[in-house]
Amino acid sequence: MNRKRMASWALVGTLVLSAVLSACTDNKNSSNTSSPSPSSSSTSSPAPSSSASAPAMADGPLGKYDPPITVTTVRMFNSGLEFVKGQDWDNNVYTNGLKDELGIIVKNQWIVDDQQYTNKLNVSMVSGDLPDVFEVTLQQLQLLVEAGALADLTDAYNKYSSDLTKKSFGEGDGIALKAVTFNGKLMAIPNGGTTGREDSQFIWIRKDWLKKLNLQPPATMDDVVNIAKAFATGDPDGNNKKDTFGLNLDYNLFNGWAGLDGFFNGYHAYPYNPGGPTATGLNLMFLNKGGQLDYADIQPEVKTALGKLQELYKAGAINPEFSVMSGEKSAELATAGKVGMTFGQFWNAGWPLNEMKSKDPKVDWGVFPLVSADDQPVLKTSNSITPTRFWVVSKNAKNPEAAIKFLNFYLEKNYGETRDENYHSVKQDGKDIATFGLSPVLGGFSETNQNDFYAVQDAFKSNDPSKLNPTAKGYYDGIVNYRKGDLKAWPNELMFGTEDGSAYGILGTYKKNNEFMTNAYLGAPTATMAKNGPALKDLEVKEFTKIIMGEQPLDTFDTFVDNWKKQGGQQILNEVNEWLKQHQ
Amino acid sequence: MAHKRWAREMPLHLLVWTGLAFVLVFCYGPMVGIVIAFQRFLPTNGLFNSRWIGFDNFRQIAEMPDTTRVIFNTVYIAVMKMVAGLIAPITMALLLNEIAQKAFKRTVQTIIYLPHFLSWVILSGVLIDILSPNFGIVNDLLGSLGMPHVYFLGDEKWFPFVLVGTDVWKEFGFSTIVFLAALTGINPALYEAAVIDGASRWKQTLYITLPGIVPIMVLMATLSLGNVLNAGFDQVFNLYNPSVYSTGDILDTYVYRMGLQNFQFGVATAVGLFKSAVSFVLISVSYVLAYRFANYRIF
Amino acid sequence: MVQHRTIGRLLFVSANYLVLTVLALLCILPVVNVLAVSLSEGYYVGAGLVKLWPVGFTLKSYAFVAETPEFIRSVWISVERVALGGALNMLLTVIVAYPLSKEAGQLRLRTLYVWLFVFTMLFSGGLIPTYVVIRELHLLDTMWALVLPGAVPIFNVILLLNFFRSLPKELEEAAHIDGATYMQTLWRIIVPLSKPALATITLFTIVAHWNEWFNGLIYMNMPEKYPLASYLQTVIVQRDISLTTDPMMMERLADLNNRSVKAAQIFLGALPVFCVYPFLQRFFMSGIVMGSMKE
Repeated sequence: MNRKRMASWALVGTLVLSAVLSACTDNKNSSNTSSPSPSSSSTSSPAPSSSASAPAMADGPLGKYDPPITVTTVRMFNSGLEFVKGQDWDNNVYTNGLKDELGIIVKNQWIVDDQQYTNKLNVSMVSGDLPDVFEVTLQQLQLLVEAGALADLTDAYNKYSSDLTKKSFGEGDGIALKAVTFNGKLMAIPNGGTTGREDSQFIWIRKDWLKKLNLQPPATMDDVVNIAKAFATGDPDGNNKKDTFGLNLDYNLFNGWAGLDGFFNGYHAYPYNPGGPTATGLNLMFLNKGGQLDYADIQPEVKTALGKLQELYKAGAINPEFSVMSGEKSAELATAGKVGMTFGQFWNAGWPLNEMKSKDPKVDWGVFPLVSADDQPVLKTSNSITPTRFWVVSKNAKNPEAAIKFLNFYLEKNYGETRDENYHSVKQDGKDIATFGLSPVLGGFSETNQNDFYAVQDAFKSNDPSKLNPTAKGYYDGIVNYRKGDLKAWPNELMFGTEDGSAYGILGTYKKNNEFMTNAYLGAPTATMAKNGPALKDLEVKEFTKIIMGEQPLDTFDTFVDNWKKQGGQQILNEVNEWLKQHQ
Repeated sequence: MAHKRWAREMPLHLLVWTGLAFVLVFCYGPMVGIVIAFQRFLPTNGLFNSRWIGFDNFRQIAEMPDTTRVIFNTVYIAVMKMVAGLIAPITMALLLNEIAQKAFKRTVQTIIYLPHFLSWVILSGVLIDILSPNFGIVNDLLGSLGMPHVYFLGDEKWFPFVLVGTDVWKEFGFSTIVFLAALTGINPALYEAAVIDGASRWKQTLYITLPGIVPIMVLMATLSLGNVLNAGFDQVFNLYNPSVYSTGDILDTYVYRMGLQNFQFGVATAVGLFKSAVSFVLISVSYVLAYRFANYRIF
Repeated sequence: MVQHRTIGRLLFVSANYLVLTVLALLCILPVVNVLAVSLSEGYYVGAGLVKLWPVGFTLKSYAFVAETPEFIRSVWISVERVALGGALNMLLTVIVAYPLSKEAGQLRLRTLYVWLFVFTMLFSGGLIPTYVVIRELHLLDTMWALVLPGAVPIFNVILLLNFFRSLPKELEEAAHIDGATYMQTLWRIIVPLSKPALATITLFTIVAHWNEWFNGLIYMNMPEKYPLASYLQTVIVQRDISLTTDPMMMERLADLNNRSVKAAQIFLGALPVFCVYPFLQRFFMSGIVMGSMKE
């Protein structure tokens, strides 16, 4: 399948982005790491046999089955998927590698567009056509465990997991492992998409607008408010029309792009409950307040920040139509040059801002750390250390350990001694085609990109890029090209370029100071959350929106808090505190 | 006698049975699945091994905080769409019927049928732009006419009308086709006679054309009753936003947003069953009424 | 046809032309917009700058689609589906509508039959049991899964039986007196007289098969077997950027939300059906077939 991609605009952004997000490259060359590199010490030598009693000829993490076994799985794809020429789902670097090296024949029972994956999986379950290995969400995982449909992977894990696999399970202080353990049994493999602290927010600001209005980058939240107002009233685009806004926002309110998470963080508030029609209202954020869990979105600091937003709206700094706009529309506002500041995550440079520089060199988006409203350090909301997708094994599978072996194989080929770039991506006709997604099970380590960043910085200091791994070398080359004038390579600069002017530079500082606020509740959505969560989300987004738009006075926030508790919120609080008691 | 009648009509029965066979296998067969509405359904348990919970799924729908309001919205929007969706194409067919120039007639017919092929995903992007209060062309027009700006997609009062208006606009060209076909069935001799009698075009329309397509009008109206609880998921889903939930939320979008679609199969099936039952009652009633009072079988 | 040339009539005719022209414009503008988007550079589309005229004119999107094997392959699957499914639909519609167009006195159980059909229009077992049936019949992953379940389009049957009923009864009676069987009457007299109705239903059938996407996604096990509408669905669905706690989603976004390419595929995908209509249109011109009938 071909990638649905037009050469110019998506290319740079996507390649950078895919490499960054894949989080699956080696980093043993980095020397200046703030945290231990996952593979620098660990190696999984090709299968020294660990147990003599194992059946057949498949001992050890990477032992080979002889005769080969067949393992069924199911796959989802999106229309962005592209294959290396001559390869497809049933014939690619992973299916061939697994067959030749591990003696496992991977059979794809079906392949479906990702939008219909849940439907297709459900009908397969009803028909009794469950594959051996498949991917699920947290809710599905719970249902399947409840129904007793899954294989217990504890033994397989103990017997077969490689060092790298064990390390990947241990990511995030064991949060991943905790998420897949039910009654002491290992029931799933957490999706390797655990990305450390990559969901922390930054402030993205048009530096060219700052310069034009003689403003300095923000040092406090008051500065943020003033800049936003100045962007709206000071005609930063110089067209003599009052058609610009200072702070980008859309109906999601909380989001990795144009969300308010970082704005609230500045006031030491940590609300998180995206409001769009597709949001679930299940991922609630809880704070541990003196041994009691409390809902982050109903704290008094939230009210303070909402007051500031109301002030900004009144001053015309926020698009009055934000409440009907989706994320795509708020992105349009930014690329059309109508807004000069937005809170968001590191990838905003890769989308949607990626092409602005090359289309108009005067446009100069910069990335800045979050700032505080007072002298207290600002903690950033960050929950991505908790896995959200999982691989599970059907209880009818003949070889449940195969799933563990898939992960062993994947990690070995991408991070281990026998690392092979073909298992990550392949260059074809001048573009990189990702192959890592073809593995039936994926894994990863959360510090990969961060380590690549430090490696790139070292390479610049020593003027010697020769030690960089291929991925980091890609960033390095991108930055060099950008500085030579190739404006299409701009996202590299904003993500990996400098210590204080790139997202990973700033993120590194966040990490050094350990300035994060993480959800204190790690369990699956409780019964009341599932039942009342969506309605409570509607209530919250409606109240917050009305307060921001000035349709309701700020003090209605207190009524909202009462209503939230009355309409099921108190029950949710009781449930999560019950959970806390059991997990202390 | 009776035996003879069967034999004589047998070819007709055979024809019906051919069609019925498909319906039995592919529609009535799966209908056993309605049992899901009375279960706490777990896909891994197959169709009949989940726990039976009686009417709990229905109770859960009834007890959701906004169910009454949402059902009201659904009916309100759907009924407006049904009425407008009948009047617009009939008017259109009559207007087209008055056009003598064939090339013009054909061109217009073809063009008005185009929007039917654009999905709401695509149209919503365009609509959000043109209906924007500050930057949209519609409000620019209103402004130049001295009328106040309207926040079409963000105003609770306006949103249902936006839904009706855009839906009619998208579908009227396609629906016109049925009525155009019905118009061809009117006997031209009637018009000839009317002209001889000196009836004006308007009188002809009133006394010949309209009565000629009444059966199809009644049929289309009755069939559209089946949609009284389907106010158009795709459309609403792509156009609405949290500001207009109170008037724009319909049963389907509400159920979707409450997360009932994904994991609570029982509830989702129960909603479907409820909708079917309501449609069935409405259609049956209008069928019986038409037969009783006009001695006319709609189908 | 003789017309009364009065001033009122003249005014009406002019107003009518005007109104229809305005309506036609209203309907063609979004199509023009889609066309303009498909001919513009993605960046300008993303910035909301493309209205009715391309900005940064380029044929890249079309070149891209032309090089997309999935698109072309799925078009062929759709053509096959329309041919097979459409033919089956039309045949069954006609042979079911004909007996049902009889009065209750002419066909026993007629009312029961009609309601058996209408009932399935309102009640359905839903996705899961339907899937189980298709699977048990071993139709998964075959064209038949897209064609057989909807083989009798009830809505069309009811429409057609109403058209059949509006035909003058004398013709059929005369045929019977001449000794024609039911089948002969149906194919030699009823069908030829129902061209406008059949054209309408043919159009509905073609459009329905061409546009239906969900069954393709669910009943086909491999994407290579998706018909065009299913394939387009995988392309045009808006990938929401909220809920970005899973940053893997972001990679797709930059790629998938290229609206120019989407627009080009939508435009090309709808083109064949656009073209069917003008072709069928000649059957809607009134007074062609019916002239011979007198009541």
